[in-house]
Amino acid sequence: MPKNYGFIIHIALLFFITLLARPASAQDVTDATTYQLTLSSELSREGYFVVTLDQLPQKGLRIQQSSDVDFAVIDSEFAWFGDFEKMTLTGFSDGDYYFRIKPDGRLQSNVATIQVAHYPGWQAYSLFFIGLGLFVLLVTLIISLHLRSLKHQEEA
Amino acid sequence: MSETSGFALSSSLGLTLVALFGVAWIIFGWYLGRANKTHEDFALAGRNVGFALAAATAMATWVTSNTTLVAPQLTYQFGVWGMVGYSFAALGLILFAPLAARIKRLMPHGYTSGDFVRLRYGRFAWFVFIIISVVYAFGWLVSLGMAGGILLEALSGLDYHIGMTSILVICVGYTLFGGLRAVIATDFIQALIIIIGVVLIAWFLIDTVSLESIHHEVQANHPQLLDLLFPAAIMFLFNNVFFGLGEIFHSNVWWSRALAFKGPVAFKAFLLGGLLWLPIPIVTGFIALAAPQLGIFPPSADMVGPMVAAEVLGKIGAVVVFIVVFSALASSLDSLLAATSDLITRDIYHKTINPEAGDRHLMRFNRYSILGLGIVTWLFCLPKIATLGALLNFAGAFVASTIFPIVLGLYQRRLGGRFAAAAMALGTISGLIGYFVIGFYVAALLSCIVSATLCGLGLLLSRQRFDWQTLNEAEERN
Repeated sequence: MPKNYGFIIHIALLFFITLLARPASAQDVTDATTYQLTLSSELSREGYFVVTLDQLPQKGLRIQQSSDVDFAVIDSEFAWFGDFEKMTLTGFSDGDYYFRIKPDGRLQSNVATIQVAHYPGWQAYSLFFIGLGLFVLLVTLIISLHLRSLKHQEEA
Repeated sequence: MSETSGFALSSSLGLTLVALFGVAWIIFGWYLGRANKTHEDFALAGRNVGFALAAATAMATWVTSNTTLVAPQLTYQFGVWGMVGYSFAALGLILFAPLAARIKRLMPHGYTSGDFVRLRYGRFAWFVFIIISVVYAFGWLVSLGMAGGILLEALSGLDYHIGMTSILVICVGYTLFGGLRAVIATDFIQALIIIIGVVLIAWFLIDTVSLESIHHEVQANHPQLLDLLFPAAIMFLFNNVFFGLGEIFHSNVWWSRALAFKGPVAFKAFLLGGLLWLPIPIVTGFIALAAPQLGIFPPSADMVGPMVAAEVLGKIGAVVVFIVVFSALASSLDSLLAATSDLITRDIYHKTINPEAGDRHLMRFNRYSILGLGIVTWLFCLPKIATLGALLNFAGAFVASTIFPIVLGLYQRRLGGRFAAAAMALGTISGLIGYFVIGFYVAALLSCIVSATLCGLGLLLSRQRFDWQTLNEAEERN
């Protein structure tokens, strides 16, 4: 064991300091609140992104999604989960999407927007078939070289 | 955080579980470590590991944050292909089986993967390889430390730093006492816990939330997740395969196991370990598809697995999830600590700094290395720099470049050191360009393509015929 006990004690103390950290708790306010909603980027090439609030969420907060900036038609609603300030949404097809907090007289937010544009098919298929070809080459190489080495071993 | 705030476990229960696990593993490590008399005992468990322990440690070490946290993350992001693609990482273990047998035959007295590269390709290639190994080891260590913090935060709301610090202290503790012997023995128990736990979680999930309702919700509101022609997911598929192959083929975690397993055990152990591992990401990934139907939209995609399991299974389920994921993380973290400290002790300290160091000195230095690695990892983990998937796949750009140099180096006499070094260096650079220009899901693939091309060129242009005895003779001198 290392003999530098003083060093170990310092590390242990650093560990205990981390235990002083307190988890965040949900706001439970009744006053009118305006949230600032931001998205992780303006363009998503994979159909997933992160929605961020500028402050802790209130209980029962919901996010509305629409393909229309005026929210004439609400396509989906997502209940905000837990006490986190972020929410990851996923599985979106190509298109423009608008998000806001569901207004209820007490809560409101700005409208955040994102464009989802997946990679073109030719790019995805090219990489897929190159990967497949390389993989077949590698497996063939390993099997043939291993069998040949076993044969040499038996001959020796 | 109280249970009323949406978390499955109270913070006190979360901390109690961590403390109980920590004390149990450290005492176990100390008990096993009493048998370590030499550096070879400490680093390679006396080169005498039997089939059952060998298969269990291969499987348990590969079940890590990758499978318990990142497989659900990638399913949540890439849908069905994320789940299936992740299970293809089993090919890494399966294809390493013949290589492990070859390693054991070529280097019966070898210690590390770095030893092989230095003897086979020379100093310059070794230098490139060590950079790749260190970047990868820290990438994985940091992701495992982060995963500990994310796990506790997702289940109990405890601050990220508490879980992260706890898992590092526990794993450094028992690896410090027990060496590879403790790592492999704890892996055996952890493998049993993981298999039983994952089966239990899958059983309860399917029983509680029907497949039809999950399918309906995903199809209606998240259709891309069911699209088999999802472009980013298609690009990710072989990237993940090459990332897994690169991780296993180059890393001393797996080489030290191949060298520690006795006789002809290595081939069968890696084959069985891979087959046992194959279904685990399918199960852990599948539970992420239930998230939208349950109204769970995690703050970070890598938290989705434990959150869904805890939501569906309640407090008991959360405890099961905690035990399974904590075991999975510990089984990988301890292996990586042991293997990386071996690499530092053997390749860097003994071979380049202090060649005269005796056995006891090396054993002591090995323990200092474990402690040092733990501290540096902890410092890197303090700022939560990226999601687990993104962090791991950054390392993919590095490790995938080693696949062809390792395979050809083990079987082909013709590939020379200059081409191997160029393949690893230029492969890594290409992978990093892909990582930053396109995305993390192409880094390993591009790296491997460039590396394979340069290795092919090396085979065509090189006239050398490497003498296999060099690998063994150089070891005997030491």
